[in-house]
Amino acid sequence: MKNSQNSRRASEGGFSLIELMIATLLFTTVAGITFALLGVSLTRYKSEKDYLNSFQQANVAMDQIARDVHTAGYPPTNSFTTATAAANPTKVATPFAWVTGYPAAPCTVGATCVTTPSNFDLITEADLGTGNGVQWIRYSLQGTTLMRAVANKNGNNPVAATADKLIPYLDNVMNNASAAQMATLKAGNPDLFPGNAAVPIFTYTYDAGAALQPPNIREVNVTLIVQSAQPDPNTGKYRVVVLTGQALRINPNQ
Amino acid sequence: MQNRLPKTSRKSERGVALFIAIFALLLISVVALALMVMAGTETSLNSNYKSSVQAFYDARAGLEEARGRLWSANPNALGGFVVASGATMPVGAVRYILNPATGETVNPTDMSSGNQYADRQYSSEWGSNPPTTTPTTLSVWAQTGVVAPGPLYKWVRITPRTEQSAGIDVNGDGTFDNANPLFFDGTQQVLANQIPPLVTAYQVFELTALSVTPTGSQRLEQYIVAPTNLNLQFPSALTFDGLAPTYNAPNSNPFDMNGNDRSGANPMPGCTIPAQPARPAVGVVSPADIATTASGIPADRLDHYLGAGVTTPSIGNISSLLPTTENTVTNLNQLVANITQVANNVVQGPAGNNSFPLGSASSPQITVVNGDLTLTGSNVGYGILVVTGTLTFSGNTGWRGIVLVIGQGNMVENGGGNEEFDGAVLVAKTLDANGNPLPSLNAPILNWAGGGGNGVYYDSCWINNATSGLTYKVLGFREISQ
Repeated sequence: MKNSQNSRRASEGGFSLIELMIATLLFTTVAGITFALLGVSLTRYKSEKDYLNSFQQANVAMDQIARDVHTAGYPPTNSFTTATAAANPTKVATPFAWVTGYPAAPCTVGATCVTTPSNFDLITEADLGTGNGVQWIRYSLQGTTLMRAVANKNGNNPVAATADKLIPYLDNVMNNASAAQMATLKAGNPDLFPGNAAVPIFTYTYDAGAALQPPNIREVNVTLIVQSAQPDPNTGKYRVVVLTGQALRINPNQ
Repeated sequence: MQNRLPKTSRKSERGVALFIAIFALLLISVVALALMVMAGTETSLNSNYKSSVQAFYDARAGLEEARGRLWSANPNALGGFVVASGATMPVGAVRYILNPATGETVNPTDMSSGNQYADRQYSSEWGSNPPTTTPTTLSVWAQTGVVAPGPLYKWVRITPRTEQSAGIDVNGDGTFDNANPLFFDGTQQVLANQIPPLVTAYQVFELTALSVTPTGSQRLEQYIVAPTNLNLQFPSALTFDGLAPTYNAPNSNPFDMNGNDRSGANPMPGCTIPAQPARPAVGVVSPADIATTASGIPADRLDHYLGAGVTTPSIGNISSLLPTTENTVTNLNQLVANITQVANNVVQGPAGNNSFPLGSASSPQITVVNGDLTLTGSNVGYGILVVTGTLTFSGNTGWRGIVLVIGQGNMVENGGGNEEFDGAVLVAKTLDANGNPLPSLNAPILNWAGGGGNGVYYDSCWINNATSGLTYKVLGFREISQ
């Protein structure tokens, strides 16, 4: 009985110190490597999350701009009797507002249009069904922030009416970044900013043969260059999302 | 007791290796999961963007299908499912085109919370849920025998449009009318009870489509549509559009020209549009032409020209009542071009009986003949007929709708039959013999020989029916946020 107890003890005996030390060393090494990998992964994850966040926000903005352009010009003049439309110009939506000459004399985009419509500023008009009647929806790039404003159409200067309602909508929009920022971005993305020129957010396609005036804008082509909020911790460079979209104005000309 | 101690310590040591193994596995799993989540997020973002754009076009496909099928010449025309030809879709009526995927049920009138295809927008326009008895039809994609997967819209709703449903005070009277459907006269929308006299207007429809993609993107979009309005107006039953017309009238006793609405022997079945005021039987464009036109009528037949005015023959100067589309060479030729664009049949003359389908009351045709047309025998056509050369009718032939002889402005009726023209006829000479536009409108010619009972009878129902063959035009579009 004693013998059998002894032999069992020997077989059940604990690890020796050496064994434990080796085991601990091995464990520490493996754990260390694992944590180091995890650390790298977490950094990477944070960077990806940041990037995806920018991507997501840019997507939402692109989607909203497209929706606003689709609905621009609703309700058109033909939704009213001629007399009512003439007497209530603020109830009728022209697809796009402009300055100067609004609403009687359309300006020429790229020439006599001041502020809007332009490469970085667009005002659509539509009744969004919110009970507020026809509203101006303005997108305006200020620095690297794309601002959005919604204001009731009042028949006066649409830029002035929306100016104090602009709120930040999308951050880190680099389409019209400073030369230094452009150079930094180009270092990591050589295809950006061809000719070192700013990239318009809004470019316009007009009805065939029509003057380059806001009432004749048929399509709005949107390009958003958005950089991540934080630089990539591994490379130290900002990552960039370039989104392009096209929105068709469906409502008829006024 | 001595035995137990080692046993206990053995037990406590037994699982260490397992714990270490589980811990290591957990660590690796976390890393793997993190990587998978990252990749997954990116994929779903990309597909979200794609899905959202897809949903937009899916809903538009539904709207386009409904718009196309409102056109009477569409092979899958909705026809009487929406509204009978010549009738008005009453306020409160609603129709759905359903487009379920294979094995799927789409019921927009089921308002239970689990029904993701419920039409919850209807009540915001009409103040109540859509009736559960609403008639439905299947989309062209969901019909038997169609194998191609169609666009992923679920339903398209078709309703009339009123001030209230639109949320628009169309006539600026401060109230949202919900009794009178809206009509479109080519430039403006007007309430059904406020359509100006002498104006042709067509009912406005609201088409609303819901699309849902498999990834859950939804869009609700709306078209406002009405038939393309050619701005055709007829201030008289027979209109001579040009100075000094030549009119050789028949001597037949049963022959009549009549500017009173629906005075002919062939009233249109099921017509509900309001009767129009009486017009002159014959319209000319200068006061002097009244007498010269009357001089072409046999003295004992002057009282066969009835219509506006107390004296016969009822011949009036309608120059101020002609719409701009009908008052100059340029505009008339443009009108012919516009009709050609929407025509069912465009044929080169000389053409005859079998050159194009004559149509029927339920399927009126829009036909443009570039050149001469001769119709003989017992034939009755329906719709809009445009002839740029000489139009010759003989025998028992007639027309229900609109006849435009614009171009050579020469119409010959050999008479002898008992059929009649119900609707309106306009004759204008805009082209010289070589087909080149004239500097101004020349004298139109109508030689009406022979007897018989045929004549021209103004009929707003047939005029309206003729234009029901027109395609529907998009008057407005909006996306409805949900």
